[in-house]
Amino acid sequence: MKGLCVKKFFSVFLFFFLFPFLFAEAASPLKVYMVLWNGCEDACRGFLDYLKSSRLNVEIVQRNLDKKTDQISALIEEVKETSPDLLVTWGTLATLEMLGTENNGPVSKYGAVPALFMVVSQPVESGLVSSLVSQGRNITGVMHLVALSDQLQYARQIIPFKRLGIIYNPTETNAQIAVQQLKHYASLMNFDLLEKPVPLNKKKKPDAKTITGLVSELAEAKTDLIYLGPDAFMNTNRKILIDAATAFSIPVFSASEGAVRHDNALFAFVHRYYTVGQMAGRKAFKMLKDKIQAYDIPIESPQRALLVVNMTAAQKIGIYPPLSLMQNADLINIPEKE
Amino acid sequence: MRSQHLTHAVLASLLWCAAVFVFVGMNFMKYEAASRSLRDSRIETALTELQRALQTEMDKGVPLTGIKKTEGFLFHYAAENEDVLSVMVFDRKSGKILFSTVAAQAGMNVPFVWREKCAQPGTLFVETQEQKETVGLPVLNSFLENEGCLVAEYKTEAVKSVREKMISSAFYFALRLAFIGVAGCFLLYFFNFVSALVFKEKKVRSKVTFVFCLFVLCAALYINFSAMCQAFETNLEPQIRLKTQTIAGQVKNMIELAVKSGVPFKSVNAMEAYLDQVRQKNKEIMFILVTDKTGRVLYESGTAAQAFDTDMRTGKISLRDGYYNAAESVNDADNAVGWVQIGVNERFVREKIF
Repeated sequence: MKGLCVKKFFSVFLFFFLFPFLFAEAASPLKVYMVLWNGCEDACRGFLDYLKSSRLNVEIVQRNLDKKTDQISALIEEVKETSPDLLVTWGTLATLEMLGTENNGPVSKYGAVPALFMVVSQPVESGLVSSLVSQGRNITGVMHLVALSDQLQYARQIIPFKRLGIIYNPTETNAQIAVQQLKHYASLMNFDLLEKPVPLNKKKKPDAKTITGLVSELAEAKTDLIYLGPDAFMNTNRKILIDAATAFSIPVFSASEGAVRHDNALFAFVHRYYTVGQMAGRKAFKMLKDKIQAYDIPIESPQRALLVVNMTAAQKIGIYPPLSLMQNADLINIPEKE
Repeated sequence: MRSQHLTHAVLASLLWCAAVFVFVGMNFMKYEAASRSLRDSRIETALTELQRALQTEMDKGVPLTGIKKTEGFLFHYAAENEDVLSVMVFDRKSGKILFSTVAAQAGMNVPFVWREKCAQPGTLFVETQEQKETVGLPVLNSFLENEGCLVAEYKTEAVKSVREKMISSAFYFALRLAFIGVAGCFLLYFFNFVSALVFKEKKVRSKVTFVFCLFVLCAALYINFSAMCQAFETNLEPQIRLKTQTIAGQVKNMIELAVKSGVPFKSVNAMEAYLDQVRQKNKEIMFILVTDKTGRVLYESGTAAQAFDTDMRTGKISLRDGYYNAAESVNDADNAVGWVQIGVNERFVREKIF
């Protein structure tokens, strides 16, 4: 009877002694602060799903910019005050606003808070980081664009092009970078690049009315394929480009999926946003759970790209992807049988 | 002198028997390896096809747990393969079964060994038990992280019965060949003895007996070797048929995907390159033909001419002995548009031996 009392006493003592340690982790979840451009879309869902499936005890704070940058300074202050375990940003603009460029200062404005970006197309070219593998700040991230060299190699399997055309906005940085990269690959991959900058109007803005004429110039120069790059102006006016190209039976391949899905571009090699978000989630897990520093994690994009083909466009032009590529592709807009 | 000849005959018989058992054993091993390889490559081909389908869905931005088509894929696979006990997909992190062809298994946890074995991306794991064999393949997301595992359990009865049949065929033919050899040795001894009475000259009698016995031996060996190969090939036949049908089904699915997506059947891009690729991966396949409804060849990989005989009078074409031809109809949304024909030389192991 006496022995039982002693046992009880020790059990109660041990319970109270160990109580703070047993529940320490549950009591203090890791804080993740997310700055989103336009609400929690696919990439954000992928990120959250990954963290949920990894059973990491995290508290997520979401801030939505709603496609505007006027709240940025308030958010920067909030991050400084709350000092989360990880800062996550979505999109090039939100990321640049929140983190600044590497040239502005090698030290993060948030002290030791690591940052993770997703859905940024060109982090080096935009000045966010100096290199994808090693850079000066505690930042890592996931890009959503398939590398241009990979896009060109895949495109060659569908159309063995000799002449590649591009119509672009000469005032846009992303478009200029894409043209520079294409020039580089043209000599390596042995094709001719036919570049057509969109002429500027009196207000020094690119003139969308000239696009049809530029396409007909490319058709006269016997262009085999037109590339629609990461160019905001051309993507706004992509329907004009694609309709004109289809009239000349020139296929258009795009860097983004929207042109294929909604405007009859022939194909695109893409990474889905959900996948990009999941990959960002994996990087967050490494930082939060395994305590790996952000600068030790390379900035990259998913390894496997998805081919998206618009089958109605393919039927119109009479160019179909090879059978071996079709099995791993997302075939959309399938024409109805006559 | 006569007793010395008898000792030679006994010794030669023993040596012959040893050689026969080694020879038959080696041939048995080659046929057994071919049987195992046919089964393994059939399983690997089919599982890789399933894995590819799941991975493509994941590349489209659907999490493994949310792929609605998975159950359809698994049930289709189980229905097409008689030796399948169950097919399932489990989550690598939790080990929980997400989808299974056996309803009771869904939600249960898989053995920890499977989770460990499936951790190696890109490698097939095999676990053999008394009554079944488990084969698993990791399912990777687009950043090559192992998200889950595709596992199929197979009955091993058929494999065992094929092996047992092959062993009994091997013993039967080893004994037959050994008996022929021993009989040959003793014939040689006997004819040497008899011819001594007929031909007085030693030179003549040794030549005649030698040539006669050599002829008998060679003829008997050839006949028995052919019969042995034939028996082994008969044992291999079910595996050849299953494998060929799996490949034919895979090619048919691929073409149907293109045709149902709007590609005209007569102008599928790089079809022959794809067929060549399939043939290169499966060395036993002689030819793959894709024909239209009337049988006119549209696409061809390999040569089919040597597998068929044409009757000069009637013009009727028939398949030669020793060849197997699997045919699958290709359908678009509504009706049949053509055929996939795959031809296999059932004597491919024998041809390898020579």
